Amino acid sequence: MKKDPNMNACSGEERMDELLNGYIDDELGARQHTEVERLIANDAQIRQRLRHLQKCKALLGSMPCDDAPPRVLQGLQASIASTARLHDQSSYNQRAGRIHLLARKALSAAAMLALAALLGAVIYTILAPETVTDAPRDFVKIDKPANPVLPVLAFSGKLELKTGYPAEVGAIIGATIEENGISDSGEGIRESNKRIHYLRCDREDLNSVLASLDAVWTRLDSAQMVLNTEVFGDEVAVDAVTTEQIAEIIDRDNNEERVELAKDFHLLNTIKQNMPGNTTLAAIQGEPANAIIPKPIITGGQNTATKPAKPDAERTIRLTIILSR
Amino acid sequence: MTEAANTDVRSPQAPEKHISLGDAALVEQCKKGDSMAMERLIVKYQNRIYNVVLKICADPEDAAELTQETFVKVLQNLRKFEGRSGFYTWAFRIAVNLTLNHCQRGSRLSVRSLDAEQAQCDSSERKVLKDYLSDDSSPDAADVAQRKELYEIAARALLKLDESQRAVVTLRDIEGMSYARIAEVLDIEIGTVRSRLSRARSKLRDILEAMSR
Repeated sequence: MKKDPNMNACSGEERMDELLNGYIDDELGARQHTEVERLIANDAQIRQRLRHLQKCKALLGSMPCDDAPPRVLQGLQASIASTARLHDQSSYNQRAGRIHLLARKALSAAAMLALAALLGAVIYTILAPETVTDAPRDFVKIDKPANPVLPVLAFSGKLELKTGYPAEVGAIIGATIEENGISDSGEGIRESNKRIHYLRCDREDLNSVLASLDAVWTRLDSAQMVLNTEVFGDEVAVDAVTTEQIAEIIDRDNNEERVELAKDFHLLNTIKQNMPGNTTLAAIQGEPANAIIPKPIITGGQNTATKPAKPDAERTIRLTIILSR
Repeated sequence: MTEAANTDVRSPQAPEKHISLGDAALVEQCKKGDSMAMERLIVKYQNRIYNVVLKICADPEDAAELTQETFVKVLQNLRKFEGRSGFYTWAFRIAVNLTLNHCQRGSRLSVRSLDAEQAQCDSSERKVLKDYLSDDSSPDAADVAQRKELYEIAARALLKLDESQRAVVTLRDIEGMSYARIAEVLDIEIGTVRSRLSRARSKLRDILEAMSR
């Protein structure tokens, strides 16, 4: 607050005027008010002075109140409208800016997510084990075809051989299996005049077996090949089968072709068997020259070294040989 | 002093506008961008501010401009207004400061001698004034208001005061403010208000006596 520079020069008369003005304006404390009333009552000069001050106050208070001209309000209304427009524009701009910023953030987030997903997919492709991706396939077998197609060269079958010389034939088969290191889970199981070999081998090993069998084929009384022994209800039998036919069937690209060929051979062999003067053995021996199965080179009885066992992945042929009298 | 007290000692001529919302509520609405609330505040105070400004600057055109400028400043600074004083006090402080600055800057009011002023009063005016001053009965404002010559003389006498005295007399005797509120508006001590008002009235009494002779 600013100090009045003339305040100290207050004379007694001025002090009295202040008190009188305070009295007129009702701005005195109770004690001062009483004192002024006492002075007024006792001093005619002070009374006169008070009256003059009251007249001044009344004169000024009687002055009419001048109203502001209408243009003041009109000008201010225009100013307010302008300010409101600016405020609205500012609000709109702020709102638009916020929306724009939000949209940019959303787009950035989406782009980040897409990049992260892409990166994750790339990393997963590189690092994920194959078994993980293959696993679900085992559970999705609802639409399994009625005649499943086995993998190329995969073969399962059974060869039932009947012979009057089971010891001789069995020895040759056993020796061939041993020499070629063929997996034989049966290892020549003997069951009431039967000897069973569960072979798991590749095409080369099978050639060796067939070549050995070919050498003793004339000793056989009958030979029947049964395909798809591992697929229930889809077994196909070929009677009076030859080693050449066995090789041809196994060499087919897929199981369906093998089945078709087996049926053809079965029909052909049946016709041959039923022809007059022919026997099963004759049918078997009828085309020995056409056999394309290479005979293994016999290196002598001293060579007892066996081939190293092959991994299971290469053994796509599962053949059960049942030798019986 | 509360804002509600701003009508305590207003002069009977001050226009009464019934506005249900208090100043604080209107100010809050203004701050939120409610232009209607601002308009209501302007309507509420424009005449009172104009009247005080006109009494100080004595020029209707200037008074209109200064009143408008006051509300423009109010609009501009409303967001900064913290409410430590009432809106009424704050608005009047802006108006009086603008007006005093305007008067000091432009020296609009030339100092005229009492003789010159006396020369402006015709004989009938002098007689009316002399009768008024010599009357020993207590003055009645309503009675005075009946006589147009008197308040025209009063307006001329008021111009003979300097701006600071005119401001304090106007705020007290025309706007009806308390000493404390005048001190707030003029940003001076209450004792200064008391002495300045006293001197102003004494001088006014001398002017009127001189005019009556």
